[in-house]
Amino acid sequence: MSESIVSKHRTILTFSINGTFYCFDSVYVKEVQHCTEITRVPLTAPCIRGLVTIRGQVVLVVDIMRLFDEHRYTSEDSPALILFKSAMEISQSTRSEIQVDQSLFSEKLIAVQADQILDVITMDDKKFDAPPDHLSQQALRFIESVTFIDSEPYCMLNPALLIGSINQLTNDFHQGVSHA
Amino acid sequence: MSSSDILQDFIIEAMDNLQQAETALLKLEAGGTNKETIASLFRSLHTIKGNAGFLQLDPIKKIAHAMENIAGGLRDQTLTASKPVFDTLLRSADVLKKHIINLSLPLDPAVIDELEQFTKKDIREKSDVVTFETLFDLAHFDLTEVKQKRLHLFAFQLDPQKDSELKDKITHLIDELEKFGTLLAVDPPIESWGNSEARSPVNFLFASVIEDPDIVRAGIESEPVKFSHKKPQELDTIKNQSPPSATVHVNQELTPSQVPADTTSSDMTVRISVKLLDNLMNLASELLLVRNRNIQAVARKDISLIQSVNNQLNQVTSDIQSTVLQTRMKPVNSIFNRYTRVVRDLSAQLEKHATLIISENNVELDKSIIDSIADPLTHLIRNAIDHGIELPAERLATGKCEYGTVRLSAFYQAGQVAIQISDDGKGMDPEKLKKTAIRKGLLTEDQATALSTREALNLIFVAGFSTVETVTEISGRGVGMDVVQSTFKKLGGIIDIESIPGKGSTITVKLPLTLAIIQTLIVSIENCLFAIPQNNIAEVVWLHGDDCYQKIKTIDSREVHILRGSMLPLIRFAEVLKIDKTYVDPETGMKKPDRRKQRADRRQSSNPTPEQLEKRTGLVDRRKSISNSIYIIVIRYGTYKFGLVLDSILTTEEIVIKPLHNQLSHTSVFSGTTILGDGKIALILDVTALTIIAKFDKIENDIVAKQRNVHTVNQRVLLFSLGSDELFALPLFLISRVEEIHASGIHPVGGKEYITRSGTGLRMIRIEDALPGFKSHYSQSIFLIIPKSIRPFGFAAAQIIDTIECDFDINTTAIRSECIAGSRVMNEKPVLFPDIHKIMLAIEPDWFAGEFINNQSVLIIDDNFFYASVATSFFLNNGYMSMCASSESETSQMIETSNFTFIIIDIEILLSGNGKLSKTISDSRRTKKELVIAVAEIVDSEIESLATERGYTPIRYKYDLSGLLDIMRIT
Repeated sequence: MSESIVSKHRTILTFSINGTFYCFDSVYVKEVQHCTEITRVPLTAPCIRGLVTIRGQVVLVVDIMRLFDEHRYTSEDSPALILFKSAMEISQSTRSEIQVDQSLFSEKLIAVQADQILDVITMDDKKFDAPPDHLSQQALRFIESVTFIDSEPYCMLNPALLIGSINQLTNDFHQGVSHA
Repeated sequence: MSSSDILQDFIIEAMDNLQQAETALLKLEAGGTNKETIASLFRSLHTIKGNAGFLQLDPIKKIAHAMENIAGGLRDQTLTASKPVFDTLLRSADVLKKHIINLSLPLDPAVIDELEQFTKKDIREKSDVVTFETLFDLAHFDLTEVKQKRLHLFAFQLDPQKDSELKDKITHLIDELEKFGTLLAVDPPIESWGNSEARSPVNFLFASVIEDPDIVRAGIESEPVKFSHKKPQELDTIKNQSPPSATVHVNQELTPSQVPADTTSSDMTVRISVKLLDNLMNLASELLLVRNRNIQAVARKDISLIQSVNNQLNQVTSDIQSTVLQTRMKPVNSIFNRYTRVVRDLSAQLEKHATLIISENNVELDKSIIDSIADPLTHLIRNAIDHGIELPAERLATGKCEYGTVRLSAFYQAGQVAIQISDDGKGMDPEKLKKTAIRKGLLTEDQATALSTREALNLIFVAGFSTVETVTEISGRGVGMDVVQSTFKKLGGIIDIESIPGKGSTITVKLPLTLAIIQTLIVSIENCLFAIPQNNIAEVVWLHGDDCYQKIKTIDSREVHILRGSMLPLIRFAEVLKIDKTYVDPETGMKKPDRRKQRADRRQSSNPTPEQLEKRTGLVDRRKSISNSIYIIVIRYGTYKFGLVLDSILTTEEIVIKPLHNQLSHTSVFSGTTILGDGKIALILDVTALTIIAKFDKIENDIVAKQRNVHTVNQRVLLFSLGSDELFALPLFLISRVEEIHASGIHPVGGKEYITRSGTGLRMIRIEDALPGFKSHYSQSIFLIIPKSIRPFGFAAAQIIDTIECDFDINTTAIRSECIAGSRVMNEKPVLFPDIHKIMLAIEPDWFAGEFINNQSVLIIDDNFFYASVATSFFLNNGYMSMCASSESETSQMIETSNFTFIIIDIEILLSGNGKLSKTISDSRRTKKELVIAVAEIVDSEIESLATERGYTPIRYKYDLSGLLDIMRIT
């Protein structure tokens, strides 16, 4: 993994939700799983889909579409889960070149629900451009860059910002409930 | 093993040794010089020193060394055991602890100086320092390794004639020496020690990385008669060999900075007995065998074999589970011992005499619990000494022994561990606690009088509560006890206090054995699984068939179940969690939202159509079907109970708690998750949080604060209904008359309903208009209940049921609604008492918009809250500005801030208490000239004579509100 960083290449995991293509830097991705039955958690923010077990671990499933726009959502039947690594795993796999906030990438794993997992591709760093300005402010918060693969645009999402936003949303949701 | 691992291990071991040393010190201080204890003290300090020296942790080594010298002095009786010695040693132990926790802490030379004042001599002064050659000829030894490793070489001689036990402890001695280096030679060899040679001196040759010559003396616990030391550089000159090619610095990597200063590594590790580990190992191999058998059984598709394997698997799993749990268990002794020191220091500081008696009965608790209870227990013990144990003079004056005792004991009780802290001090006075609570504004006087002794004692757990007049360094700030209680509660424990003033107090804490695994009841709603901890569950009630409708009553849109004569408030679980219930439509097979959320929604119409009737009386009456059932899980929450209504209970299961994700931790209703046997996830319910969401917490507080046993004389009440299930009642003394009218006699005027009576309009009020959520069903004949009021109105009732006699112990909190003054259970059914004034205010606000008649006002003082509010309502309705007070402080405040024309007061309140209220009223009467009307439930000669003494005559009958009104009108 570190070689690719040194040689200015990136390995990305591409996936689609609602017909749009997205990608994550594979540094953050632990594994991809088939989505099993999700246990709903009552009284939580809409972006929280629920919990699943993966090899004896409880994983929190989130719907990132809700972060972009409160009216958008990933289909409940979306079959794929992308699991993020913990801060320690990220640090280990990149030989400490990437240090992330432990409070975001904690030992309790988080997964994103997606419609389809497409590919794992290694690409030149130069092929990633800044996102176009006319995207919604909400979306621009998470889209780091845009790249084209087979002339299709892929939005590179920043997992740290996504998780940070989920924390914020759940916090706000709870405060809203308690005030009500 | 990395260097930081070695340091971590050192810290853990050093802390253990220090704890042992401290225990030994305290024992020595208490019980004189015991050889075994001194040896243990010496050993502990010596190990710390040795290890610290090895790791080049100089400050620790030096302090431990200086302490060890004193211990040596004690052992050899060259130093007398005195208080200053123990004080210094204990203080140094504290300093040592700081150094162990923070390895980079610089040494304060004063500590060493203080220790060295007792022992100025060291080994070199005690033994004959001789040349090396007198003991050993080094030419006979291969010293290559010693030189290569730059070791220090020591030669010394021990004399069995000077130390008679030398022969016995020789093996131990060698072991000790080998911990810190290599024993190169013993002359004469141990094997040759016969009886004859046991008396001749023995020479030892020893090499070590440690340069401190005292290592030898400490290691052997005996005084050498002859001693010699060669440093590595001196060795080089012995034989002209080439200097060592490389210097091995075993310690070079180990710098204190590598270990974080705030490390609490001893909290992160557990010591497990080898036996237990062996046991686990056996179980693991057994598990493998079961797996192999399973593979075979599955391959053969042999059901009976699979079943037998399954049984075996069950057995092994539960064995593994219990063994793993045992590894988490830690003896309570591990924390109890430290309290001896706490008690010693604190009693010295406070100039009290207190001893701690510990009985731990080999009790073990989960490590996480042990770690969490140490601080709260310290707090309780400090409190026992600071607040409990009296000063010696005080104790002698009360005929007690000068020495106070604090007992700390742990024992198993009904599957739980009980920890008890008791003292024979001055105890707690519930009355004093109550007064403090009132003074601090935590309780009103009335609330305080209502408290039982136990409740009063529990006041000490309220935040901000402290009875101590002066805040000391130790306690009295009023913070802490609430934290103590919440810590124990968090661990699933309960805390209880008993106290006898003058005799002492006992605080008992009951804790679960372990936190990791709990017994739960698994329930489900709409495919969501929830685990309810069984220690929160009092019982489960199953209602089926018609009972689902009949045994749940709706009051003000809240449901209650009458459980053995008392009202049990109900919460619909799905509703609290905002889970939309669905049902499968039998015709389409589609899932549809179930609109029947409450009992009222399920109720059949009272006028069924012939088809409905036929369905009901047919063979299959759905309502009476056994499959139509609900469960009420009665949840115990403090002293309060409530019911959780559910459709299905799955099973009971022992679950392993997994912590929640941070993103879910805001959802306070759940305390964790668990994975069930079938791989599904269940959320663990936090009952306390549920009560907050369902807004039950306030009710409980109010009940504790307000519910009182007021002795009252029975009153007759009129029971009526609005044609639905709810029962209402009004005291007869409020009612003028009841009339039966026909529906055709009601005249609507401007959206309001009137009845004509003797030429005037009588406004008909429907109570349900003021009580949303209440349903009514009137037939053609309607009853009109006309209250005693200056305004012409009556309440519509569908049915007059009865007039019955009941006491006035009406619950004013169980059912909360603006227009309901109170409720009580009669014949197993809840009965509501409407508040006439509040209903009128809701329906006819205009009536009360203007000035009050005569601009007169009345204050009703009564400790029966229900009576006070009913009377207030009555006078308001009759045109008087009216207020009520039910406590002394409330009364004083009202009299001070407002001007009243009349004060109506229960004579018993006036006569009871400390006369303060009586004074307030007579003072006010003098200046403000109110007319005070004394009332009583029973007017007899005794009361009258008492009242005459105080100048409150005549006494009026309390419930004759019209009579009281007449008096007011005349005045």
